[in-house]
Amino acid sequence: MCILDVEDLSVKYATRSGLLTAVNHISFSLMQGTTLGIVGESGSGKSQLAMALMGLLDTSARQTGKIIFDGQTISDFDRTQRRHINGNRIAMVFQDPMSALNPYLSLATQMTEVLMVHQQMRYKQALEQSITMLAECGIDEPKTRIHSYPHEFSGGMRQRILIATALLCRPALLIADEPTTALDVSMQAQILDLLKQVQHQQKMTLIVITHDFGVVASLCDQVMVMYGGQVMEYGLVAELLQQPLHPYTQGLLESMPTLKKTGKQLYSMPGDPPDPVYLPQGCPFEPRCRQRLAECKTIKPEPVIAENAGMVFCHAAS
Amino acid sequence: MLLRYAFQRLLSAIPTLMVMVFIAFYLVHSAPGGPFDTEKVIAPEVRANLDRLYHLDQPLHKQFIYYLRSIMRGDLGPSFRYRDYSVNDLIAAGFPVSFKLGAAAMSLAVIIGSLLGMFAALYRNSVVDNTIQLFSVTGIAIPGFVIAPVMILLFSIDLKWLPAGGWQIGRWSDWVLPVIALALPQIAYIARLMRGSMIDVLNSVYIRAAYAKGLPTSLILRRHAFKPAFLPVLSYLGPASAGIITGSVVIEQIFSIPGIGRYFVQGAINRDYTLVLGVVVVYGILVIFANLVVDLLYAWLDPKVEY
Ligand SMILES: Nc1ncnc2c1ncn2[C@@H]1O[C@H](COP(=O)(O)OP(=O)(O)OP(=O)(O)O)[C@@H](O)[C@H]1O
Ligand SMILES: [Mg+2]
Repeated sequence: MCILDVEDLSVKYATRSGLLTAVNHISFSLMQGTTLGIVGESGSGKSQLAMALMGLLDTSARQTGKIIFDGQTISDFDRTQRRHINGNRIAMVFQDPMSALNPYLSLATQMTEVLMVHQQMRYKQALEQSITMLAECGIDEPKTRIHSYPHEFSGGMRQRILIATALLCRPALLIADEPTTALDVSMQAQILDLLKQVQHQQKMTLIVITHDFGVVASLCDQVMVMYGGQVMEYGLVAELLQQPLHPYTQGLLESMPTLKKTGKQLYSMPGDPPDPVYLPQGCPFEPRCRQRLAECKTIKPEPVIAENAGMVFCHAAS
Repeated sequence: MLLRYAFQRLLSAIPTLMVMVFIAFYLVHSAPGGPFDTEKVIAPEVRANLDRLYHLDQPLHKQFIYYLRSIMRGDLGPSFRYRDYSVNDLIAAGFPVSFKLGAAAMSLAVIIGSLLGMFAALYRNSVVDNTIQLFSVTGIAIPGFVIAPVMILLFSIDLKWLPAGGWQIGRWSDWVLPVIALALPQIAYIARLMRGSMIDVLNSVYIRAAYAKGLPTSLILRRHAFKPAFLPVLSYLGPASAGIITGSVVIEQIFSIPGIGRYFVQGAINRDYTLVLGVVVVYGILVIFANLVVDLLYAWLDPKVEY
């Protein structure tokens, strides 16, 4: 069953230097229980896409396109309608675990309020459920620890707490924005295991935003590569990592350090990501592309369906 | 824990107070003239007797030691001008009035200032916000001794709504103008402070995260945003208490309110050394105490503070 359907989604901002395009005509759909990875350099619009899905863009943002979640067009919902979905059916884990928890409130307050608002629970019952959820997410002695404040926990612990809070209402869709970027390597592995485990148990649909193809390989079914607010390539993880079709994906994979490549010089992509105010008329990657053709500068590539049912937006790949 | 911290703070306030008394003592005595220089000529023998009685014939540092010893005993000395009263008597009479005036102005400033700042932040860049900001800037720039006479002109003399001065027991209308005049600059400052901190808080990740949890806006403002936005205002209340005290000296004079601020002015004009110093000591204790209360409240509100 298709749980999420995004059609032609764009997010733009009127800025002093001109119209800024953070997300540029993105479409994709997700089957229930699958995991999508979104990869791209800094500034490629990943978080903006997530914010649009949550309905949490700044009031200055102009959003167009459709978001259909579980049969409902949530992009047309007003604030009150959205409020009943956020934290309940769709939940999010924010990019930075150090700042996503309110430093002035105890975990008990920050967790129980979710259950009390969405499921009309009494405090006592909500507290019990929150304690169970903390335990499931690997917090020791949750019964006493739940009355602590965020600064009493390490980064990895806070990420667990954020995940536990997001899972309280057993959401159908969880969006995790760079859940491991701020953590050290062993903590990263633990958080990935935790996500894998809860996703498996709850048949939850998961969107993971990351810079790291390692995360994609270990967690995701599909992957979407973004650049300049647009999709460059979309496909199944196994195939896309084996055989990337887009020159940008190829570059990203080549510039990734792996154990096999020790000693060898890493590839470093020339140039910088585009300025979202002055996106080129054609492919945004054209100025940095090793395989650019004459038409790349002026004509936006149409999606090419690859043999493996993936999709690539590139003139050179067709 | 908290009690021990409070006690330590109070102990460490004693040297601060002594330095303050020292500076005030020399400043008061360095002013030309003395308490008994009046238009009426006093006989030299009488004058010599008076000077001896009040230790004015002694060198200044001796006088300071005498004074310090006396205030250690809690005795602020006799008034030079109001011969029948001790400074303790005068302050005991004036302090309740000044304290009520100051406390009322402070409460008004905190409540109205925070509310205005919060609304300005919530409706940022709207007409509401611009109006509040304009009010803030003017309120901070115009001193109390300008606002008070203007208010008297408008509300007492022109409109005849409120009395222009005086302070009678149980007459509430006496309070209105002086409290507002005293609070106005503080309201303006607190509103600006609160607006800035509220905007910062509303832009913070944890507020966005609270929206992502699907909480109602009212709950987010009340539970998640108010406390962190208010903390900078709370830290300002220490300095604000000093501002209120300085303001009250002027306001009590303008509205003829029989508080210690008026004694301070009268004492300074009359070179009533002990009275001026006595008021300075009381003001010093008040400011130190206000700062202590603010710090204790802060420690209580912010879970990260360890003491
Ligand atoms: N409120 C806003 N107003 C104007 N532009 C914005 C706003 N928020 C984000 N942008 C712009 O949108 C673009 C995409 O930002 P986004 O945060 O989605 O990047 P990202 O892919 O998540 O990067 P990172 O990997 O660093 O998190 C950036 O160029 C950013 O400057
Ligand atoms: Mg991001």
